[in-house]
Amino acid sequence: MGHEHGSAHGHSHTHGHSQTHGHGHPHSHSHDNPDSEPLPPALDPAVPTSELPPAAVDRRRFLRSAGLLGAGAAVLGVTASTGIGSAAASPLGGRGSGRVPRGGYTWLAGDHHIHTQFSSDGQYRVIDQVRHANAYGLDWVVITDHGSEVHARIGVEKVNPDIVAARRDTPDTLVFQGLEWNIPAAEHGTVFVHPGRNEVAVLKQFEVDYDGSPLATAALNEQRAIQGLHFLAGSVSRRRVQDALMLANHPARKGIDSPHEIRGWRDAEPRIAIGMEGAPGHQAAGMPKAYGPGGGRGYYDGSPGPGSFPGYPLESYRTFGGFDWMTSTVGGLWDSLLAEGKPWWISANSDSHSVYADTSVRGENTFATAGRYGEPTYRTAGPNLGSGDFWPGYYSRTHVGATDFSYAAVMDGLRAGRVWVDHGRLLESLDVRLRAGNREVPLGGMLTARRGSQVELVITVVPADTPNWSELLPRLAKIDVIRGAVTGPVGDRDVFTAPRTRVDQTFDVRGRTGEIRISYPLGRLDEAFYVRLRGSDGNRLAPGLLGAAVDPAGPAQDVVGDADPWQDLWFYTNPMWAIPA
Amino acid sequence: MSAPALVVGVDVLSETLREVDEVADHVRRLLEHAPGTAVVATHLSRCGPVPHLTVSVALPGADPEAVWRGGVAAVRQRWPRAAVCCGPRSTGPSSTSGGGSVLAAAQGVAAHVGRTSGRLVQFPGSLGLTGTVPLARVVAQTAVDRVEVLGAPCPDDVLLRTREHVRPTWRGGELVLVVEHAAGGVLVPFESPTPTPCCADH
Repeated sequence: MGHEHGSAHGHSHTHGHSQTHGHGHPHSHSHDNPDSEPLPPALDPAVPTSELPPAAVDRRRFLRSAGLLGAGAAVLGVTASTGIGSAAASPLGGRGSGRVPRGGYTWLAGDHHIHTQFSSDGQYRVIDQVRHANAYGLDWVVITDHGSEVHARIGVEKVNPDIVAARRDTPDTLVFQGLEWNIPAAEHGTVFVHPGRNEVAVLKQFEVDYDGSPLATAALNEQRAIQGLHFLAGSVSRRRVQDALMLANHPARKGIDSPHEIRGWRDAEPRIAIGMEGAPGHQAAGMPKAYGPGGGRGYYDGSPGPGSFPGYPLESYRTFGGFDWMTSTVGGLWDSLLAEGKPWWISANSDSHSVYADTSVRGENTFATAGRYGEPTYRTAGPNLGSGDFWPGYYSRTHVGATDFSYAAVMDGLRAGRVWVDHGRLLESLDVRLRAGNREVPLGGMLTARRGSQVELVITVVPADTPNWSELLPRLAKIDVIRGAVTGPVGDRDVFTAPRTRVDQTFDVRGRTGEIRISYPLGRLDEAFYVRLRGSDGNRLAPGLLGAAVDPAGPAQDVVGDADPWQDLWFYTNPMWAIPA
Repeated sequence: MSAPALVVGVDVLSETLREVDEVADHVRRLLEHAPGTAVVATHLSRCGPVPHLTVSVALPGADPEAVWRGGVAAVRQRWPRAAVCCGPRSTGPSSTSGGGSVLAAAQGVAAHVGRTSGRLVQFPGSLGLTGTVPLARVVAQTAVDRVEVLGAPCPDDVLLRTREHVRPTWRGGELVLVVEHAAGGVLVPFESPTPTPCCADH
């Protein structure tokens, strides 16, 4: 069960070796594999800082201050053969080493849900998306064009050279190839693989055999979705690809991901199906009509249809503080999964198709014949205020605690749940530990300790200290600690409440700047429980859907046609469990 | 709604709300003897391999035989594979393999008669719900029994922007309209007339 962060990786961090995860897999990724990328400029000591583009300067500062360049660089697998370990470790530009919480992980921001001209509703080149993602500070992205008959036949192959070129052109942003899976009998999902010789072949076969779009209606059943996950797992175990992951996208948008389907994916292949979008993309879609699309935030503006799970309440079709109902409801669906004591993680992505106020238009319609649209052209009609998306990294970020800057490490970090997400760059950095005695685990970890041990939550957070991409400086107002009992496997697989989960404590941090350290005692470890964090700028608060006793000041339901995303910012972390031994 | 009405059930395997609304409107025009008198509802059905939507139309004071020979024949002409239930008679495929299902149509009729579930497209008073109206008018002047506001509470004198699309639902015998807040301090019915479709060109 244990994560084998062994000495072979040369990790110097002192924590985490006691953590266990429910996935039951050995780490088989070697960091010196042939697919390792060349050294990104930000990490390359031969490139002077004055020669770096602004995003890379930020990244180098970040890595230095985190102790990940210089003396600490041994943890960076990719640097092992390049001699960077002898580089100077002094922080740059007055950014002290206290700025970024230590702990052996470098937090790589990314986005696993991005469309290009290879989607029937897309527009941009791969390089357009990747360069914007890079400029807005993302370290990794996944290109996820829609599964379709045309994409399976043409696009999935034809997009690959563009992705390979983007890897070369933006070496400090990792670019995965994936696709947006039409999950048989369910919503969309992200599927992506580790780069390598067979990345296209595996994705193509997966799409042909398991995507809901090319498939005949009769094959659109829940079992087919499970078989697709088995196919991905088999592709990894047979070493056709080094790794593969699946996450459910906009899970509550149309009510068609039932609780038992989500549990089914998780339990069928826990190494592959690891989570869901906690916050969907399309976060600009709720901008008022006067200067925006005037739709539902996230394009969550539907109501129950024939494919919907009949048990879901109408609220589930809307977002709350920009987050999906499954995640935003304290004691709701996500908590009901976590209360089983099994991992299921959340992310936050752009779902970028067409960007709010962008000045380009889709190119010539050659989709059916060429598998993609032509090159986008300049929009002479002025900025497009009817689009509801942001560029990757502009608003939504998924931060992954990685052991090095590599494809494998991003996938490992995602699978381990060392993940927190934010909107509008609400936080500069975040480090969370669950501690008992001399043992501790990071986000996503399971801490096992002697029954009766005192358990403590240790939070180190730096609220935003630079403006975000909307040029406003977000102000973190509060941090909520959400705690739930682990009640074990559910009898009814369609359960979507966790009656023993609630907001346990709220820390008011208004006006605080710089690094905030919070040690919060969680008491004696008598029964298994989990904790997760959430925080807000405090602009829009409302009692939770399960009552003020469960969540006195949670996210408010977003108003269709009147949801300015910059005025309602949240961060969420993944959970950590404490298990009495 | 006082006199018992003939309820006709029609299943043509509609897949979306927009699609079933078009079918419901068409069926109503083929069956309704006096404009505005029918009560038209749609129902979720899980009969057959694919979940879908059916239509039920209540015709106050209608004669089953006359409707069967007239309106139902017209419905069958428009949708040759439709399943239709009309009083004691029914027609159409017995399963959903390629056509509507008599069972699904009959279940819609039962839900309509018992007001246990269903989504109303036309109901007493619904023709007056156009433009922007005081919310209080919904309960005062239509068959809607209760309005439920999602999200924050609202003042008594709030306005409802109907968007010409008001779809209350039966819940345990009660007709409930769920509304939510919208831009400009008004309410709108929860169900949007133009929801964003999957993979739309948004």
